[in-house]
Amino acid sequence: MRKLLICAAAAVATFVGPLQAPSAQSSTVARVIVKYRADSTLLRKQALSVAGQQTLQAAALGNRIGIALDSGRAITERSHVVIGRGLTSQQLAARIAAQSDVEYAVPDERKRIVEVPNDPLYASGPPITATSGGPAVGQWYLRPPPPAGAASSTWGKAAPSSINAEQAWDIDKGSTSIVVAVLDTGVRFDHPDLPPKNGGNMLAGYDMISEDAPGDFTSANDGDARDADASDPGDFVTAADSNALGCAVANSSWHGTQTLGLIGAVTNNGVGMASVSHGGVKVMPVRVLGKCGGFDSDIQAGMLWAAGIHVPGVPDNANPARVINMSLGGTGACAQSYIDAIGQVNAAGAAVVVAAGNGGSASVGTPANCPGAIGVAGLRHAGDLVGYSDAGAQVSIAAPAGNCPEAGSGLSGCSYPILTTTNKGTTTPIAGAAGATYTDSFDQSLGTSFSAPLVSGTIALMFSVQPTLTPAQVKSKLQATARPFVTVGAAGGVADAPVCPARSPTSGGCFCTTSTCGAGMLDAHAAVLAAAGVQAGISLTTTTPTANAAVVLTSTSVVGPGRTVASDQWTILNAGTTGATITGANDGASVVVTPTAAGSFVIQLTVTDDLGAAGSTTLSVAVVSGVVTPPASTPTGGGGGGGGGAIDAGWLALLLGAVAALAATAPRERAQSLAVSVALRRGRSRARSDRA
Amino acid sequence: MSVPTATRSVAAAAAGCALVAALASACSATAPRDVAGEPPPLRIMVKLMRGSEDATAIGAEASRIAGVRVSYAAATSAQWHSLALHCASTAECDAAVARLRAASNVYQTVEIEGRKARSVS
Repeated sequence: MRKLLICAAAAVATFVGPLQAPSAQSSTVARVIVKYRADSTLLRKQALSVAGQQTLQAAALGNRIGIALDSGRAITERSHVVIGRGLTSQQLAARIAAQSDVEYAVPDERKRIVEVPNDPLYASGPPITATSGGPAVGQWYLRPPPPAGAASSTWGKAAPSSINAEQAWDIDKGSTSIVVAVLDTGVRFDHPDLPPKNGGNMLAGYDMISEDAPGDFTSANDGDARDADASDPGDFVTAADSNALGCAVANSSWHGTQTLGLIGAVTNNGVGMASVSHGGVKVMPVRVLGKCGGFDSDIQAGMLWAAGIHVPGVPDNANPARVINMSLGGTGACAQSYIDAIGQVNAAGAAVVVAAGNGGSASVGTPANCPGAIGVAGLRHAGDLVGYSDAGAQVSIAAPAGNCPEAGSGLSGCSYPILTTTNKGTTTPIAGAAGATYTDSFDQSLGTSFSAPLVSGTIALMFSVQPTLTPAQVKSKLQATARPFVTVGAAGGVADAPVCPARSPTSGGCFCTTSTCGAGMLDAHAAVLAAAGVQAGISLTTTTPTANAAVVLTSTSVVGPGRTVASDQWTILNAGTTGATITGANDGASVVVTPTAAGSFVIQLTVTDDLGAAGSTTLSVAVVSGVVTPPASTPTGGGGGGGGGAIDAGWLALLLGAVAALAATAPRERAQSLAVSVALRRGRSRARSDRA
Repeated sequence: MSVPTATRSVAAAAAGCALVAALASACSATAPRDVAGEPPPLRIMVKLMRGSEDATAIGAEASRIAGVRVSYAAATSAQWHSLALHCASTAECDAAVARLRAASNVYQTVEIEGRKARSVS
């Protein structure tokens, strides 16, 4: 029996040991940059060394913190890299930083190259001639913005309102399980920079435009009403159309091809442009606008259909969208029909993104002003509200819309339009590659129509990394991660811009506030990072936490796809009456807590992933009183002192381990230990029924 | 490829109108007015108290209640439908809409339908 107890004790040691130094990290190499204070004793002690001075410093530092350290590359006289093993760089940095004579200790992180797509128009538009080309800044709106407050001369090809899609792509390049519906004029499926319909990320979509009147297909311009062909036949308006429908004569806009390209153009293919979603998500055109726009009923039917909701007379959509982009609108209050439609669509899990409108007014267009919609106002490159954008309290967020700082200066061309896919046809489309082109500094894409797709593409990336998000959560994270508005100065040449809602008498622009332009400027990287997040979780491994016994807690945290946990940090927030303290390391995947009395304690786990996203959670642990009777002395188990004294799974595991360890001992001893094992099992069963 | 709701609804509306006429003389006030000079139809959206996908019945009932010819335009859902009111004048359409709104046992909501346009500068 004594041997059994010894074995059990050994098993306890084996059980607890790895938890104090998590085995998962045993092969981890930690690299930390450490800088000593000028008066550091480490420096003084090593000052007389003639060779390997920093090697000795590392060794001395390692002795202090109980970890063998090697010295890496020297950085300055007082700073160098140290290398340890068996823990993460963050953990090592934390331990070193706690030394009083260390100025700082930070992980020596490997920086990844932020991916810049090889699409040529991303870098720069075509050379500018008298009537075409540009913009020289290419797809400026997707780049990381310059530091806040940086002089405009340092902006390069980015601008303060740039949305930082580049760094978002470093997190995720979109999932094909996410569908973005683009409710617009349809699309030119034959544009070579858009994903192919067969086998690519382009879904067939639907043409939801019904008749203007029985037998009258003027708006639809395709000779029929609702059908499965979402291609854009052109929305040019003739004089006759103008008379019939009441809008101005115009060429075809290829508006749907433009908005869809911003969301889903094939990216990093060495051709044309890049898109916000990096071409990684599926896009689905839903044709709801024809000549002179479209009826509310067709738009709402398109919304419902896109979200997978049944529309009478139309085959159901087998690929429900999680994002619905609507670069459209009108004036007035939000109609009940839109409230109903958006509510249904949100309930189905889809976010609805709507352009705020281009009336240059203080009244947000509709349906951008509807509850549940994510209304998007338009920003100039410099970060102030562009003159034509509507603004108001119902706006959720703001994003670049395209602007021409040189307007009225006599220069030709526009330096900050939104470059995107389009067609060369002025009325009907020009088919194939011959007709495919891009908007530029002369054929300009300007409007909140182009702000909304930047938000929709960002949301698609957010859903890609975290598909369980609800539309409300997406909106909340978008807003929480938006960058503060530019508030002062003559940034980019808007010397006369007042604070919104007042407008510049010349440009119509103004410096945004959170009550006029939404929560801030869209930051795709921050939004996707927030969506990926870290879902911290704690599992109580010990079945019945008992006073004076080890309580084991394990992290069950989940990080985003392709990411890893960089550090865990456990803290007793409130020991209560338990006197609970952490035994051993507090930065592993598991932790051991030892309470000394009954009651409850609260422990917190903070998890940080390799991209710096963090999440925390807490757990309240109830501790029962009494000393668990050593199993060897109470072979029938279950009794013991206080509260029924059930033997927990941890003890049982230890003792079964001990039994296994005795398997190689003398037959008499083996028979004895097996008897104990059986008795323990019986005791556990009894204890359970006692509790029942 | 079109969903033939319009063709169906014209015939159905006529049939429905005839039926209604047999029961009452309402159809005398809803005779077709497809004559030159008639203003364009007024598009409205109605939300039914009880959802239905029967375009014919929806159009016929709206004609009966509105007192003008109503053609069924499009469905948004089982509850929401777009209808076109064919009136001789704005005043007649206003009155028709008022009658539809008054029929609260049939319609939860009656809206004037609008058009939306591209949000380009």
